[in-house]
Amino acid sequence: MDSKILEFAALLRKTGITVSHSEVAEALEGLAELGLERDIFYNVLSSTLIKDQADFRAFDKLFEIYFNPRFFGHRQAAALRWPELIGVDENGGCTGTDSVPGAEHGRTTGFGQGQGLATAAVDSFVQVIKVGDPGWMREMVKRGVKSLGRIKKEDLKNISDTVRQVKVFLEWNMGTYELEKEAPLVNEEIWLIWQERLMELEEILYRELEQAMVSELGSEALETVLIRENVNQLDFYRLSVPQVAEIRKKISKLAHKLASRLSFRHKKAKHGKIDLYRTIRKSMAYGGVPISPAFRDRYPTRPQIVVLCDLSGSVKVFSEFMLQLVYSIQSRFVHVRSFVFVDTPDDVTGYFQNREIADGIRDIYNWARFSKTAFSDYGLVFIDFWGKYRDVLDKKTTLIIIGDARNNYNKEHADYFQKICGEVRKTVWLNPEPAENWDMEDSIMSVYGRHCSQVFECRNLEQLDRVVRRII
Amino acid sequence: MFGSMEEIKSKLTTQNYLVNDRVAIAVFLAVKLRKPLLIEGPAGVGKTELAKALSGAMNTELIRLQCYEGLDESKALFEWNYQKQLLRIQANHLTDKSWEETKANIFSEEFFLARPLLKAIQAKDPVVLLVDELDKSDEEFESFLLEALSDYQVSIPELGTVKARSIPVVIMTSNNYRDFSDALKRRCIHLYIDYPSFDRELAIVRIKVPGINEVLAQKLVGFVQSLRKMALKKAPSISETLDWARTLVILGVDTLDEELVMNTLNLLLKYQQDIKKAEERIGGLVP
Repeated sequence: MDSKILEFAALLRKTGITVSHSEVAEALEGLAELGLERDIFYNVLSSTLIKDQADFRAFDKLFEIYFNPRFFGHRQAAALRWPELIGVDENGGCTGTDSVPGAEHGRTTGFGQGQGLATAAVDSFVQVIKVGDPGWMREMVKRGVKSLGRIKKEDLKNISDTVRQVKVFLEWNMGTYELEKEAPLVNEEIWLIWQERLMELEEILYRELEQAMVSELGSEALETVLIRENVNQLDFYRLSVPQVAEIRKKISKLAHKLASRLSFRHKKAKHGKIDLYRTIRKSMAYGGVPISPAFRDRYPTRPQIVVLCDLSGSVKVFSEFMLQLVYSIQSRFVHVRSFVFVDTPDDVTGYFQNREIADGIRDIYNWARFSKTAFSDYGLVFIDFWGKYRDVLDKKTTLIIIGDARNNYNKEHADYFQKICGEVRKTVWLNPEPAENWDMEDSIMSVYGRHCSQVFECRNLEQLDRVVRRII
Repeated sequence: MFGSMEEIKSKLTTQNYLVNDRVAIAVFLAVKLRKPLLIEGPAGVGKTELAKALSGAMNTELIRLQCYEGLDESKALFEWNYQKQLLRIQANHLTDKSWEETKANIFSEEFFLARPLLKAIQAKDPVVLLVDELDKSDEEFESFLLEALSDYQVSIPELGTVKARSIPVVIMTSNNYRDFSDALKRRCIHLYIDYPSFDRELAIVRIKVPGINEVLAQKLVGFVQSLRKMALKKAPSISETLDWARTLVILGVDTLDEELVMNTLNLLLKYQQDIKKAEERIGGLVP
């Protein structure tokens, strides 16, 4: 038992949760007091090992996989599954490598199916959501996962593609659309419940898929699944829907930390420049002898910020995070102007004034005109920006650009970018792509990077945290 | 103190506080392993109430330390009673006492003001120490607390080390206003209290608002539960549900209708945007 818990803790650490030795000891002590009944077991482990609400998702997931009744207590089986974690020689081997003939052809994409069949899938999807029986939901998702046939390594690498395949099979989007159509006709209460069930179904889908992967591919899959849970280090474009929600929460916390940290600092730092006027005033009390100097108050400089966000494809998620962050610490800036673009910039500052950030972002997609062709074209954007919005730039302004600098082989027009950079205090470029991919294919990061004050790779929450601390 | 989990459950129930397994286990571990219990969760779900109920169940005193920005050692641990010390010095001047005597005199128990933390440690029988809203305090205070709670002793320069006579049950609450250091989290048993399920909330309403009729209780809990599913700035908590239930009982109504809900909605929702959002859809929400 002891070694099981230790292994479990080691696996938890892989998801980015810090688990110390003393916490493991507490867990064991607690178990000795309370026994091993499954519910109690779960609660003891969670209250001793997990100290942050955000970590519960990862904990639950691992708990379900690791202490699954199918292999709980079967050490031998576990050893076969995860040789390097348990330390058994690999001769026993995983079993999932030999391929089944025909499995590759067995995939259904949903497009090829006949009309009658397809409608049936939609109907059953809508039905399942309406009834909301957990067993049914699980069963349907299982059917979807089974439709993939044998799970391959590529599926593991591209989990979002795999999820999409399952969704296509289940006619997920069609079903959601049907439900949305019905929404105005039913009671608000019921619609809320449907929405909740849709979220739940998404969770179940991920969970089932991951379980299938782990039991099929063994230790490698488990490790990938666990690392994917570490939202701090996970690339923004790999996030699943529930993880995006989690990051949103973390960002608002980060924003709070940034705002309060600075005010605290500046309160303390009262030294430096002497305030001569007040020093002399104070010295009057001692007959003109300046006993203690008075220092000038320090006011934190509040920069003016212009954010220019690429809203195309994979950069989109990150741009939304950045907008959320900037607007949650708005009080730190004199003024924030925000622009979004794909191939032409549009001013979206007004969308955020005095309202929820989520509403603002939704309206941008509905109303803002930032895309003519749906292909990003940085050159055009800079020409238009220079032409239309030159007056928002001045020497007090920091310009933050968020984009992958993938120009689709269009003209770069770096001269316009240079002119823009010349107008502002500094230009910071945040690129959500891994640095080793810069300047590959159609990425022209270095062409623009040359004119920036700083260029950062910023592809996960950890990096975002670090970068924001440096530039704000 | 507590022999088993079931004992905790039944004793807390007699204090009109309903717990599930999860809470009972966390409390049991905190008491048994002598670790502080860190409770997190949205405002108004009964974090502070748990501490109060626990002290009632253990039949001991509850010592409360309310945290706020700028709280420091002297307010949490101990202080010398300066005014009294000054008086004594002046009084000693009149009689012919030497400085040595005075000095020995003014740093004694008599001039000592014990603040909550020290009081909790010095108590003869174990007490419940509630450190409320720890997230509002500064980081410095947090690390100070860490020292005091890790081996339950504090050092006071003039008196030496004060060891605990009895080890208190420490309960810390937080609204997640800021994150704590890993060092503090590591030393605690963690408990997250979320909004209750329909059945649990109904049970709580019945136990806390005795005069309520069954139909009304079910309807109002159902309404609050669907409110929580909406994307609101601040979803209503148990305490708001209870306030609302009490109000409805005082108003003498026995069923919900749209107009009544509209008129009393401000008891549940505290932001104008939220109220507006709920009012727009009120027809579909009232059960």
